[in-house]
Amino acid sequence: MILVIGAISSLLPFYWLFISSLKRPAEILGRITTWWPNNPNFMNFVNALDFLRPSVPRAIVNSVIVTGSYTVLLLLCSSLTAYVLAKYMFRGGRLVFWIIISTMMLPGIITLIPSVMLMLWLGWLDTYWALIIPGAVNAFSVFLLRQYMITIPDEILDAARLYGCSEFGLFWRIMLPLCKPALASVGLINFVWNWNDLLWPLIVLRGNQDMWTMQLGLMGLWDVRGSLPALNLVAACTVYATLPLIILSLITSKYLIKAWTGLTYAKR
Amino acid sequence: MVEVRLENLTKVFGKNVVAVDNVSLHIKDKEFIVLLGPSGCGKTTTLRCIAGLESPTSGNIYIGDRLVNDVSEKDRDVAMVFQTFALWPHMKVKDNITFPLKMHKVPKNEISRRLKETAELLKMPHLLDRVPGQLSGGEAQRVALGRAIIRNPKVFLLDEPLANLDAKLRVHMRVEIRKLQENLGVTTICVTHDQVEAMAMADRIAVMHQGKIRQLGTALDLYDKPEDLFVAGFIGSPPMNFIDCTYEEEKKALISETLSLEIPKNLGKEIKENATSSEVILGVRPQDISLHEKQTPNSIGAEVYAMEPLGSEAIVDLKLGEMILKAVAPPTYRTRPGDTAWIIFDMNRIHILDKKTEKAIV
Repeated sequence: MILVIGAISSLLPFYWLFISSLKRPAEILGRITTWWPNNPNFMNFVNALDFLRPSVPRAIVNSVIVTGSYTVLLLLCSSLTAYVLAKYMFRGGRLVFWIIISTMMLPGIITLIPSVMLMLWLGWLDTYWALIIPGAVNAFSVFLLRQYMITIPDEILDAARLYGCSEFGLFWRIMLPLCKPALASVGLINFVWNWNDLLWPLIVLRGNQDMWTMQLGLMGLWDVRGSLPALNLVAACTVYATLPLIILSLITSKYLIKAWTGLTYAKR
Repeated sequence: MVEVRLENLTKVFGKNVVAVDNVSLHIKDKEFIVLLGPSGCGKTTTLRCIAGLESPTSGNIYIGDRLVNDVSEKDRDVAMVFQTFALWPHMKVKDNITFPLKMHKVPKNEISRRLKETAELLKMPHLLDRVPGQLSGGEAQRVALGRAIIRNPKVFLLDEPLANLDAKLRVHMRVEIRKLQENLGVTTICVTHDQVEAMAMADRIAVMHQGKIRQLGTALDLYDKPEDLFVAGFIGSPPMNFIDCTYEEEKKALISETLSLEIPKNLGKEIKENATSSEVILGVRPQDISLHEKQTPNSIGAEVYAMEPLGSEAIVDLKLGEMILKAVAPPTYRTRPGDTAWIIFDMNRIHILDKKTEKAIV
């Protein structure tokens, strides 16, 4: 029962967004709440495409490039770090791990200004680098992946080592495929986080609209028209913005269920 | 094929955890040797040192004539079957088996040929397209063996290979493993804590305890002539009965609180010559105690404490004073707790150990 309530409350905002995208503006703002549009207008999705131009299609491309590269790079860097921390004994290894973990305690806002100054110093403002590189390793992902990796028996790696696999081969051929559920969760969490991020792109991209990501594009809808935009079209645009996340969640759901029902490796 | 030699092998973990303590062992070509001992005795660490998965703190390891201390695990030409089989769950059986060949860049047609050969040898051609999750314990075991033998290794290392199988399959697989080893003629070192497994498979057994080899010999050597208290107690099921005694030379008898046992003159002479004092331990295997319903000369009266009818035999627990002795009786033997049984020790098969040094005297 609790799960049903949880599921309904999670899905409700999406449902509300979807029906709003099918309504007419007056119906959205009307006093009577309707749980299904009186006259569902699917043309809103076609009109939204016109409404989006010119900034948003470019923003979608930017978001795909930025979030895609960010996620791939993050998975690679975080899993390599996690692998070393989980499976290699070296002097100071535990200390390194705790230092990484302690950075999770810092609120992001504290590191915001130093990070922006660093971007400025590197000359990365108004570039993709500023959106991709700074978050490419994060403590949360390293922690999650490390915890998963330490549950993978050492014997599995020892066997590969004994039969001629190189150290990088162990990571690439054995460890990564076995970590698919953890990688899927970490990837999805970070993809969503990066896709939805508004503050960081807003700061590091300053006013350069060509570099805007999806969230900046959606925010820009309010300014471009100079007046309150049609809410049904904003809702339709937001559906477009959410669509990649939903598709990705569906693709990775098999691994997500495995990962979230106990983030440990189980003998399969 | 090759010999394996360990010379004063020592492995210390951290500052003072001595896992393997100055072990020297010569394993002959094509020999099947078992390292037997309880958990934590250092047998798996010894095996891992031979495999190259642990580096020795001191001592030398030779495979053939080559000193391999500094040779990486993949270049030692050894294959290992792990206790959990350590199959890679994301790969099909055929990929698991051929992995060692792929890593050594063996040509594709040669890989296919050897895969076919190995699959037929281990009777598993039908399993090749499955993944490990779809295999039973016995099938997974065979895949692990296949992966180990496909490269024709010089030395075969087995780490508790039967521990993850059910009792029935274990009996079957120990014969299979022994047959396979004989057919391939590979020098094999196996680790187990199960003495029955060790005795069934090994040419020779090295009993390990606290990082040291306590005794090396054939199964019958260990059973009949244990050299110390640990081996005497570890080998044999049910374990040997031990009774603390004092040897009284005038009476030519072993005396304890509840027992006075006359012993042959030659045993007395050996005790006198070899024991550090008159304090000794009498060891009697349960199989060497015969039970009688009526008192006979030299028999000792004991109260029946419990009985376990096992079908092929019956194990009878006997109370002698405060001590419990175990005896093995024929399956037809009938008794009830509280009855008196008259027991006779087979004097030709008793063991006498020095209480102080715990070494066997007789």
